[in-house]
Amino acid sequence: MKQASIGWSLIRIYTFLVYVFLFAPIVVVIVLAFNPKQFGIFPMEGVSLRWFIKLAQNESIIEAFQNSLVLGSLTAVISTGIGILAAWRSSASSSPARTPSTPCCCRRS
Amino acid sequence: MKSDKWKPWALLAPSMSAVFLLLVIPVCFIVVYSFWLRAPSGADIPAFQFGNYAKFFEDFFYPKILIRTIRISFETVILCVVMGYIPAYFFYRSESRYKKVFLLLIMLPFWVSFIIRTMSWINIMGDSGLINHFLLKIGLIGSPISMLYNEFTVLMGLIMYLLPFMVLNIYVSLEGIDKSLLEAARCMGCTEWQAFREVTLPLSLPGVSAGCLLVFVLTAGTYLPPMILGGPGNDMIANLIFKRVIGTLDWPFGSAISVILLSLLFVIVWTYNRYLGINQIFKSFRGIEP
Repeated sequence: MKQASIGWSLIRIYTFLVYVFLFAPIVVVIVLAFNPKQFGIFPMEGVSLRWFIKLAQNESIIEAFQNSLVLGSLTAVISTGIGILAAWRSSASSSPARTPSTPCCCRRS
Repeated sequence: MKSDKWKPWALLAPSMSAVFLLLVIPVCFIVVYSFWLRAPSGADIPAFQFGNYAKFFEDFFYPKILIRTIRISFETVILCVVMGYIPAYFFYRSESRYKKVFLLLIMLPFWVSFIIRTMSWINIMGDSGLINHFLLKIGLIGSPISMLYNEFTVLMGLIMYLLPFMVLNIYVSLEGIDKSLLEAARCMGCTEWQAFREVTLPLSLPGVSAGCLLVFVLTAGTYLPPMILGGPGNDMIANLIFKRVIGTLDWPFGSAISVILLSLLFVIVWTYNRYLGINQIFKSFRGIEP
C-alpha cells in the first residue's frame, strides 16, 4: 500500500513523538529509582539499589502491597462477574430471535 | 419463551444493584448534604436551605473557577483529538507485525500510578529537571528556566492521563470500518487523502465523539494535575471540592459545589448528545449514502 509515502512517514514520526510524550514520565521514574540521592534531580551521580533495599525492609509498604494485590484481584473478579451478566443480557436483547439464556460464545450462527 | 421473561432481569439485577448502591445512593446523600447547615463546631445541622448555593454565586470567585474548569476541559478535548487521531490511524493502517505491541504499549501507562506519572513531570521540567539539565549542558541557557506550575503544565498532565482513552476509542471505531469501502473509493479514483476525507474520517466520527465525551467528563472531575503541576491560579473545580471537604471539613458547601458541577456536566452532556451525539453522526452519514 502506501506504506512508503511521505505522508505515512509523517504519521509514523507523529506517533513516535506521542509515544515519547506518554513514556517520558515512566522512563524518568524508572531511571530515578536507581538514584543514590534523596532527591530526584539531574544529573544523577552513579547508580544504586539503595531504595529497593529500603523498600524490602519497610514492613508497612509490603503490607500495603499485599492489600493492593488482594483488593485488585477481588475487584477484577467481582466486576467481571457482574459485567458478564449485564453484557450477556444486553447482547441477548439486541435481537428478538436470540434467547437470553444462550451466551454469545455458545450460539450457533 | 414466556417463562424466560424474568431471566434478563435476573441477569441485570447484580449490576443494577451495584450501580444503585454504589452510585445512586451516594449521589442522593450528596444532594441532601448540600442543603444542610454547617455548624461552627460539632456536627452539621440537617436543614433545607439554599445558603450553600447562594455562597457559591455570591461573588465571582467560585463561578470563575467553574468557567476555567469548563475551558480547560474543552482545551484538553481538542488537544486529545489532535494528538490522538493520528496514532489511532497509524494503528489502523499499520501492517507491521508489532502492531499488537504498539497497542499494548498505549495501555502500559495505566500500569504506573497516575500520581507517580504526574509527579514525574516535576523531574522532567523542574528547575533541576531533565530538560533544564540538558539545555544547561549544551550551553543554550545560562540559568534554569522555570516551566512548571502554569496552565500549560496542567494541560500536559491532563493530556498524558487522558490521551490513551481517546486513542483507544478512535482506534476501535476505525477498526470497525469495512476496509473494502476504502478499496472501493480508491478504485473510483479517489486519492489517498480524498479516500480518507470521504470514507474513513466520517466513519470514525462516532469514536471521536465518544472519546471527546469521556475525556471531557473525566477532565472536569479530576483534581490531581492542577494540584501537582498547577500554580495557585490554576485550581479547577474538583480542587475546590477537595479543599472544602478534606481541608476545611465543610461537607455541606463541598456537596453544593459537587451538585453544581454535576448539573452543569449533565446539561453539557445532554446537549452534546442531543446535537452532536453519536446517533446524530450516524444519521448524517446515512443521509449522504446514495
